[in-house]
Amino acid sequence: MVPNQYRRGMAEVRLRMSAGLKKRVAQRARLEGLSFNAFVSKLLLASVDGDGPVTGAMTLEDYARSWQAAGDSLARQTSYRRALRPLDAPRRKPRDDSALFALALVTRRTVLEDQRFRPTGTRRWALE
Amino acid sequence: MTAAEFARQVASVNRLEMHLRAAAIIAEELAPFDLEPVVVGGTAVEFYTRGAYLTADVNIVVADFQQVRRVLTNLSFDLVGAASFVHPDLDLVVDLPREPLEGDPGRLQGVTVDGRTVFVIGLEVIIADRLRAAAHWHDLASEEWAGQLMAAWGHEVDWTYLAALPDSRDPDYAAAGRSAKALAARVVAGASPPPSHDDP
Repeated sequence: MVPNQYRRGMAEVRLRMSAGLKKRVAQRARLEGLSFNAFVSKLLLASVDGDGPVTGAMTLEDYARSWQAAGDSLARQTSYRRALRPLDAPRRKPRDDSALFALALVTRRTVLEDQRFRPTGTRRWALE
Repeated sequence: MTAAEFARQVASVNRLEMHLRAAAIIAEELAPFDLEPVVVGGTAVEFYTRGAYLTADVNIVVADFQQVRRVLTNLSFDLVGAASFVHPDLDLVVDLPREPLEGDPGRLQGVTVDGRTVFVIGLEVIIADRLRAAAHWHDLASEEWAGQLMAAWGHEVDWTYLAALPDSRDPDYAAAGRSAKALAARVVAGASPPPSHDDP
C-alpha cells in the first residue's frame, strides 16, 4: 500500500465520520484491543479484498447499513477502497453457497416485489 | 437549479432514490450542453437490484469533464481527487469514471424521476462488467452480484447477447459466467440450496 494513500484515506475517513460514529468506532476498536486507526485500517483493508465478516458476525454490509443509518457516508470508504486496493490483495474465500443462494433469493424477491419503479415502455421506467 | 433547491429535492432517506434523483437533475442541467450522462458501475447494480446492492457514490459517465465540473460546482459539490465530487451537506458523492461508455448504447434503460429522465447502462452490460471484474481481478463479490442480477432478472436477460460478447471466449470470464448463471438457474427454479458443510 502506498503510505500517502493510506494517510489520505484515513484523514478522509475521519473527516466524513460524525462525532457519534467516531465514538462508536472507538468503542468497537477498544473492544478489539486496537487503536482507532488500526481498527479503521482493518475495516478498510477487509473492504479492499471484500473479506467480510470483518469482526464477529458483522459483515461489511452490516457496517455499511449501520454507517448509513448513522447519517454518515461510506463515500470516502468506497473511494479509498479503490485507491487502496493493493495489487496483491489476498483473495477471499468463496461465500458459503447456501448463504449466497439465500441472498440471491432475497435480491430476486426485492426486485420482483418493488413497487417504486413502474415500467413505462421498453427499457423505460418511472420512479413513482 | 440552485444549490439549495438541489439539496432539497435530492434529500431522501432511501439511497437508491437519492442517487437517481441526483443523477436525473444532473442530466437535466447538462442537457442544454448536449451532454447525456449515463449511470454506470455500482449505481447501476444498485438500480437493477432495487437497492439490495449498497453503494455510496453515484457513478456517471459523461463527456466534457470541465462542463460537468461547472454544473456540479454550481450545485455545491466540491471536487476531491481527480474525478470525485463530494456534496458538503448530503451523503452524496458523484464519481466520474473515464469515458468511453462501455457496452451497447442501445441497451440503456431510461428512468424518469420527477419528470426528469436519466439513462442507466444496460442490464446485460452491467452483468458483463461484473463478470469481467471476476475474471480479471478475481473479484468474487462481482461474480456473486452478476449471479444475483441474473437471478433477479432471469426473465429479462438477453442471454444470446451475453453469450455473443467477445469476452465469452476468455476462459476465466466464461467460468465466472457459468458459475453466475448456475446460481441464477437455481434461484429462478426455486431449488433448495445444497446442504451446508456444517449439516449433519
